[in-house]
Amino acid sequence: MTLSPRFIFVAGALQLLVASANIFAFGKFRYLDHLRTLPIVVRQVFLVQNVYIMLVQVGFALLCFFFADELTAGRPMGRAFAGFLAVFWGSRVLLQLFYYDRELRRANRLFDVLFLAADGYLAAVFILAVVLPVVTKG
Amino acid sequence: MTALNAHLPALVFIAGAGQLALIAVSLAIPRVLRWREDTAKLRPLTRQVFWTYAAYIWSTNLAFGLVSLRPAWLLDHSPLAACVTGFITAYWVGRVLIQFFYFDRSDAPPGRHVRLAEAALIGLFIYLSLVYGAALLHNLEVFGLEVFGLEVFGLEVLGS
Repeated sequence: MTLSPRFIFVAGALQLLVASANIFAFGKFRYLDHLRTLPIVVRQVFLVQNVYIMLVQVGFALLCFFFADELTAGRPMGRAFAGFLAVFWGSRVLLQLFYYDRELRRANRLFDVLFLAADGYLAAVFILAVVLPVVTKG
Repeated sequence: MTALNAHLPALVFIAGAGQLALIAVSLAIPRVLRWREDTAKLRPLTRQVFWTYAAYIWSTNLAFGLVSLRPAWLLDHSPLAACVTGFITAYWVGRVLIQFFYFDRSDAPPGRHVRLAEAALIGLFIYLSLVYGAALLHNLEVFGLEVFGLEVFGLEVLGS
């Protein structure tokens, strides 16, 4: 038994939403204003990291749209990639719960819950994509 | 080109080892560039986002390194392998371009060791760009002029 590719399509759409939220976060949390106090190279590193994370998430989304069958089929490459995505999004849930500032999360409760739900869904779907072909084998 | 094809698995494996070495070395970068002191001036959220993004970039490099230790997975001519190698190529080519055309080096720490380390890093980024680019072309079967079936200049170049 394998996971239905439909779950992977939904995961692709969610990843596009999370990637686009980075643009929104720039304005809402006024990153650029706060970064002005930093040396230019650290500011540039922050911006490069931000753009790279967005592009990586868009890349993940495209792979989900075009290779949903491959990601759920249980073959080594698909399972390796799904495993990486499970760790990526699972750790995002842990960071949200245990690393990000609690006061800030409370002040932005709606976004906090939406991100947790999205990241939790993504982690769960990719864990199932890795595990289902193994546990249901034979 | 067939000679390159024959050596490609070894080159991809070395690229994987290179990326694993890179993530080991990059653990020292925050200390050398004093990011902790600099980011201490930031609001908690911006500081946490900075470190979270740094961790994600680090783990993405780790994943690229680990998957490259299995070159057969990345060189099996499948559309998925072509997309993944294309993605990794774009990732490292972008990194090379950022190094040369975006980063301001005016306040980089002085010293011969820093310059040598920077040269080694740039060398590695260029190597990774070239090897994954070659892997992409291999997956598209460009070397055999057979890439998913489209005819270009009388040769079959996209989609067989």
